[in-house]
Amino acid sequence: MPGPVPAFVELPPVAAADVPAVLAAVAHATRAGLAGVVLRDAPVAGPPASPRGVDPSVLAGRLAATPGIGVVVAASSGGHAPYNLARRVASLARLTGGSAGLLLRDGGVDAVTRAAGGAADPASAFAEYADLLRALWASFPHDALVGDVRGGRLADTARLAPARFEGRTYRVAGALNVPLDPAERPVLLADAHAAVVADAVVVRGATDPAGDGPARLVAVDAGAARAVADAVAAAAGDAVLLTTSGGAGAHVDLLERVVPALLEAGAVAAVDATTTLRERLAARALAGARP
Amino acid sequence: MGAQLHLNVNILNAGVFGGSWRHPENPPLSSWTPEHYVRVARAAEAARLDAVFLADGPVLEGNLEHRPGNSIEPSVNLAHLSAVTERIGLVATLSSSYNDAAEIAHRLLGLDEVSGGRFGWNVVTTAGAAAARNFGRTAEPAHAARYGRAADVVSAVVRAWDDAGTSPQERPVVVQAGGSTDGLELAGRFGEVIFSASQTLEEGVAFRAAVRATAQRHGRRPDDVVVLPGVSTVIGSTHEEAARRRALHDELLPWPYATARLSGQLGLDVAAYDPDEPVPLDLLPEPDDAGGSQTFYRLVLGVVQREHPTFRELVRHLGGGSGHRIVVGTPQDVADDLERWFRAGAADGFNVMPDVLPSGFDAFAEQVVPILRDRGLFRHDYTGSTLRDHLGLPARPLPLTDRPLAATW
Repeated sequence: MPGPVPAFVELPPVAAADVPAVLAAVAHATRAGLAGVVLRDAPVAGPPASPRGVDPSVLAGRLAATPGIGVVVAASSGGHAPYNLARRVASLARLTGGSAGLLLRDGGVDAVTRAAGGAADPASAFAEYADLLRALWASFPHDALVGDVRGGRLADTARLAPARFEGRTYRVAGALNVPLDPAERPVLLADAHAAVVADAVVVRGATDPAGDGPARLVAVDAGAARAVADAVAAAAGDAVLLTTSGGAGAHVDLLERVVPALLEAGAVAAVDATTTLRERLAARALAGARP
Repeated sequence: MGAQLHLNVNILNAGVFGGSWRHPENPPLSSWTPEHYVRVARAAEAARLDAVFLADGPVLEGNLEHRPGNSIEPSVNLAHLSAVTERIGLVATLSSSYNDAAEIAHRLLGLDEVSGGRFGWNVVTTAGAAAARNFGRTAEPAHAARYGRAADVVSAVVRAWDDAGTSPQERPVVVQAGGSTDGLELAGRFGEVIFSASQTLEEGVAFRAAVRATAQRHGRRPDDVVVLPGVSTVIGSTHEEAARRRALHDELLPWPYATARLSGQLGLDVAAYDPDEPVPLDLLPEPDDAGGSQTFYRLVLGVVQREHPTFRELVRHLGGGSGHRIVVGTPQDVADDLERWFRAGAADGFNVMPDVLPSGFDAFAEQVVPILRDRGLFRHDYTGSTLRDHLGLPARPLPLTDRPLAATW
């Protein structure tokens, strides 16, 4: 019988008026040992900000001031040029000390890439996008910064690995301008059915295939389950993703009451605030507990 | 010109000089850390500055071997800073060329909302092929095309903000920083704060007058435009100490970096010339024919025309920095200089670019700001909570374009 796994909470788009209460609740649950939050985004179309909820990367940037926080932002390939999204998530990794991830969804090709007027191949674009993100996150290893004051040499540029990506849809030359240690690189997540190779997958419902590669973050509807602890115990994965269908008030309740109770009861594992998101998701694998 | 001047601090990574990161007052790699920005933003808020300002470009600069550049993405950096400060304005640079208008309208309005109405967007068109190659292009779009695009993107974003009607300051502040003919037009039409680069008082007076006249031509009130020239500060407790500090910046400047940067600004390979040879004026193109950043090309050209320097002298003059004006002296000298520019109508305030960060900003905040306060030129405390409150800028309608955004350009 495997032991308890870390818990994440999924938050739907948060309206600006609800941000203070929701973020305070996230901080409360984080102090209790919550592994992180998954911040869902709203569709690109529609009015900006309030009614659609504040952009997840902005919320994540604010949450980065919370010690021990883990943040996963959800984003669509169709909403962001890959260099921009890679950079924002890498920046969140810097701000959180290695506790940031991206839940990537296939939403077609973004407007900035299309504006350049090049060719695009819808069949391979999403896989390219994921490959490109990973290439960019590895492009500026932090140890390239040598800081040789006496010699006047700030960086060893031979250690850079520019993406030089020439795909069927995306053409991106550069290295990212955000230095990352391998350990603090963002975690790439996708839904279990997505046709990309991710570091971790979000599994919703019993019909999702059991993956043998990436870590599995198994969704549990904490609003519907009569006994949340039992539902969590039955979810076979590397971590659970607690969801609820209610509004901001239901999520504040989940974070302030349900999560601390689950942690207190030992139904889910409290995380060490100094660990990276990658370590939190791979805790079971690292402990040899996965089959 | 208001009764008091406005002050932003430009957190230009380790400081404005090419060798700032080597200065003994600060650790060499600190500017790559989030804590660096928190440190300066908190000090700026304690000094009651109008705003922190973050320059940016979506590219790893080619001079990384010799100096630090922009790193943490500004919208998330400011979101973080909004959580550790309460009142100070938060201005970020984002490219109009390499962002989707609907996406940044949404993201930046959210930032404005969660910060309590403290956000300003510095619109840049992003010069250079290196950035273009990160977005599916092989070369930078032509200067005029970038500025045409910028007008349409700003219009789309401002319209979305106005339609949403949810900003705590009615609408985030639009900041602009173009010194080219196209840039001046964009600044006068949409810019509520103008981050300018003028070397002499006369240039400063002329630029501010030109921006105000352009705004008026677009049906705006000239007083709805706040012009903040960049000013690099080198502060010492005596004239001698300040001069020594300035000389140290020259010594710390990595020479390969300085020549490469000047080559880019002048459009000729400086390394091919003797450093002690005069810069050949006849080989330099007219500003509107030059590619890249015209603001700084004009500025450098002005120095060459006035002073006929050698390459080495020009590099020293520019400090291997951003090309902004450098003021060297005691706190009294710096305060005198800022007051002179303010009273002469060359500035509504300043975008302060300390020589090194954070220590050079601490010197400004602790030694120059109190003098300005004693002279009645700067606030003792905030009187409002939003960036517009600090700037005294009402959110008036802007003369937007009504062209639909082109899908390809």
